[in-house]
Amino acid sequence: MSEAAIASSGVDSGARRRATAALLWATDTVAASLLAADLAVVIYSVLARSLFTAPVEWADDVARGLMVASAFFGAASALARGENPGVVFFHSLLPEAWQDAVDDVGAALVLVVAAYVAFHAIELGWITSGQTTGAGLPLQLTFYPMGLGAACMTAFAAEILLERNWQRILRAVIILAAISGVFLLGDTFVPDAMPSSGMLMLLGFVITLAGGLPIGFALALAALIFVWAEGSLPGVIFAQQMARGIDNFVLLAIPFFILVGYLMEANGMSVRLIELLQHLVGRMRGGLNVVMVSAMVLFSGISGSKMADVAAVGAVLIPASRKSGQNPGSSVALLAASAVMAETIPPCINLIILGFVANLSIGGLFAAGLLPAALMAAALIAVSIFFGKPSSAVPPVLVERAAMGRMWLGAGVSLGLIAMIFIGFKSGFATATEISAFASLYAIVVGSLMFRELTPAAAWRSFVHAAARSGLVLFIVAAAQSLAFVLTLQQVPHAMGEFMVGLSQQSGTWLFMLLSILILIVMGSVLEGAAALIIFGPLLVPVASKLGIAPLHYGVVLVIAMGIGLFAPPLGLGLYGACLIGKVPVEQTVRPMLGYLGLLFVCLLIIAFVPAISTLLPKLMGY
Amino acid sequence: ATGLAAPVLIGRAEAAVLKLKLSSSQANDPKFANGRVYYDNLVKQIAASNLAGQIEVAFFPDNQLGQEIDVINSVKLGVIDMMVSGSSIAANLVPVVGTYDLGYLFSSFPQQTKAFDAGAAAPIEQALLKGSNIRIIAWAYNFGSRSVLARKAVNNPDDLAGLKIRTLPNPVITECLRLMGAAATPMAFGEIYAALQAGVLDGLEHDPPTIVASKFFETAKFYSLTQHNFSPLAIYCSENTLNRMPTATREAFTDITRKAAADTRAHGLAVEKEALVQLKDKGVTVIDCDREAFRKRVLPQSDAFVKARPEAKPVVDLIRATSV
Ligand code: NA
Ligand code: NA
Repeated sequence: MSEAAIASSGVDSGARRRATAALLWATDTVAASLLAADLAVVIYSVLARSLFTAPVEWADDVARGLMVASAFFGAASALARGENPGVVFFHSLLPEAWQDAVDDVGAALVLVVAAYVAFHAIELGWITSGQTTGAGLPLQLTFYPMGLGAACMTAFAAEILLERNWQRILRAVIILAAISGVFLLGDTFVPDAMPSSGMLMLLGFVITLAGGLPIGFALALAALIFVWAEGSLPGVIFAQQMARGIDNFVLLAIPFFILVGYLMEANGMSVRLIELLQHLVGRMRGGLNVVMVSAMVLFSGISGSKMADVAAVGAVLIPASRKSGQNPGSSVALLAASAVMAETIPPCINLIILGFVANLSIGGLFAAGLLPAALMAAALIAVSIFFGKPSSAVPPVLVERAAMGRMWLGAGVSLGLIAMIFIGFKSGFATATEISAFASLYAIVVGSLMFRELTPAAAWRSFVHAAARSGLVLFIVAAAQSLAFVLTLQQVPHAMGEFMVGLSQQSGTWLFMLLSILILIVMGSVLEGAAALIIFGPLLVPVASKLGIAPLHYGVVLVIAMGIGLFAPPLGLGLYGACLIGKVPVEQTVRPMLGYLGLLFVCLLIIAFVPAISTLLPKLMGY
Repeated sequence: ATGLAAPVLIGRAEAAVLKLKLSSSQANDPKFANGRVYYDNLVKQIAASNLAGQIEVAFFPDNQLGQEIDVINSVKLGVIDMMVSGSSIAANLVPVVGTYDLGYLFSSFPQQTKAFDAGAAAPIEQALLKGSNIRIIAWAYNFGSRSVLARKAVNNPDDLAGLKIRTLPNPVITECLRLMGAAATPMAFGEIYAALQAGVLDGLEHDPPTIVASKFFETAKFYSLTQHNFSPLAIYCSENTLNRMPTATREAFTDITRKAAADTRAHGLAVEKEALVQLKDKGVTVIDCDREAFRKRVLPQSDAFVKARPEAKPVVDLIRATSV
């Protein structure tokens, strides 16, 4: 998303890149193969249990282990391709000469963090040898593959650093050595005047984040600064928290639903759905915008990856709106606003993550998110129609008569996937997490049998992309968990919880609600969404239940607020992503985006203060 | 986010007070959660002792410091000082601890205490200390024995045949349920409720307070008192932490942790009874099933275990020889 953050050194990368091209091929292959194996394990386990009443006892442990390994190899691939998101806004305000220095130091820090993870993951595997998982499998099987993936990541990080000339590398090393030297001197001679480990951590985090260090690495580095400054915590604890941050069965839904998104694009389902929508509503007033919002609703109902949805819908509809003479900036803004709206349409990665960290029912959260999303979709569609151009200005969509039947069939099959996700779970066949594997299977089978568009090569590419993308997401989740662990050790959540309860008991629950929204908008903007939920979810949700707010309702509010932050200028990374896809400079989207965000914010206030919108469906469905 | 700055400001300098971290995987519930009840008792005992003001215990419920397998590894390394949990988690480190998970090994919690006092705990404690540097400084009771909650009435092994029963992801307990006749289905705790509701599962095995606290009775209405497992509750302490204490402090502290554990036992037995009454009130049929039939089927498990791990034989023999 922000290649600028790590790869903007302006150095030609060709020659040295070839040296690690083979390694990149290897990490891609390993990550995708592990993901495919994971899919096979989950599907086999569900079939054995449902059809033959023969539950597979090792399935849970093996599926999680494969996911952790796939995530670290995938994250290595993502780093090699410069896909790691970082905050570019503050960085872009610096003078050019400074930007280079900051980039160089950032590249060195990425190398340090990756190497630290690799070393201690392997050490942890060694320490835990002889121990077993719940099902009795060797425990170190989780940590050695993670260490290998992180070692590949280290190699890529070294390559990125070494692309610079030696003067710049030396300068970065000197800067880091100077900072460490000042700390060591101070700690030795004036220990009483030194800031606490917690304060150092906070400082390091703010500075590296503003400097554009990729989010995952900034989070991990913050935890590491605490570990280093504290001196008493062994490095393996950091690796342990990284691994266990993602070693959970419910998180499997993330790679699988991301995979569905890529498969859907590769097998032609995406195009068929958009064609159908254009045929149905494309010619009404503001038609193209209505198509865009409805397409985001449908796509969100199928895949779990918001950026995949934005990419799929944007790739088709932004050029179409350019052709029809619309302002591309406002089209991209609407696309981004629709992504915020779709934040709570199941399946949704952020609801899964929140349910995981805050101990909420994921099925319940899915149900709770539907009506709030409907409210926001209705608001966006109403605005699209109200401010839209009359139909005559929009070129008619060309659909040949012969293609019509094919389109309906294709769309029907695609919608079948949504139906399967809902019915499959309700019927007792599989859990919500397991259904995500069957959604992938459906996309593969339907793609190859019905549409005959999904070639083996295209399917394989989908696995490679999904493994890298989910590796990226899960690496950030893992890093955020390691930071959350360090905060918990310092009892920060405890203190903050008491502070919030005290404040709300004085002024009322409404203040707590508003504060929560504010925190999640700001932190969602700074921390790329998921990380904000991981750190603040477990901290705020118990306070909310203490104040009598229904946890599912509150969870939905948090996720929407985070979504608004993620797409809010000037920091929101989601907005930068949408602009990259729509090929529009961010500045052109700011004005229309503020309008849409205002609208969504009003919707969020309604959702926050009318709990029934979120709690009605979960109640009806028995959560 | 203003609250964030305050606790972060606490200095790095080691304070004079010894600060210990106590972890529990259970919720922060002062009545039904064994971790919190133990913590409350421990705080009371410290306050009443001559260690008051010298030792402070910070409580981390709800898996805040990580999943149990990670926490116990952290106890091993001395990063986390204490942990309250069943004995089964330590079997992942030192397999012979799994002895206590064997089906129908104990017949009641008081019988367990009698057997432990007679020497059935020492070999296991020593094995864990030697193998992983963790000392079990006190034993208490889990809040109730484990029995089967199902969507249909289970009176005997035939009724249980083929039912998909969620078990702890623990090979010994899984095997016990399989011998009892069930299709043992290990599953993450967080997925149980929805899976029961949707029919992915036919039931689960757990103690009454957990079933009340997690509302599993809302979808499964028959609780068969199979009582196949009376797993003890262990108070784990890092040997590194204990070694940091001066001898006098260590002895006083060990004494206190034992007293707090003893206080927890009566509470555990009372809460089990109360939870059973609550289950009945919620419309659950509590079935006094044919335990003897289940016990006979599970008997070979202990024999096979002892054959594979001869070091468990004296422990099993001692427990079997102890009657209430
Ligand atoms: Na979605
Ligand atoms: Na989506």
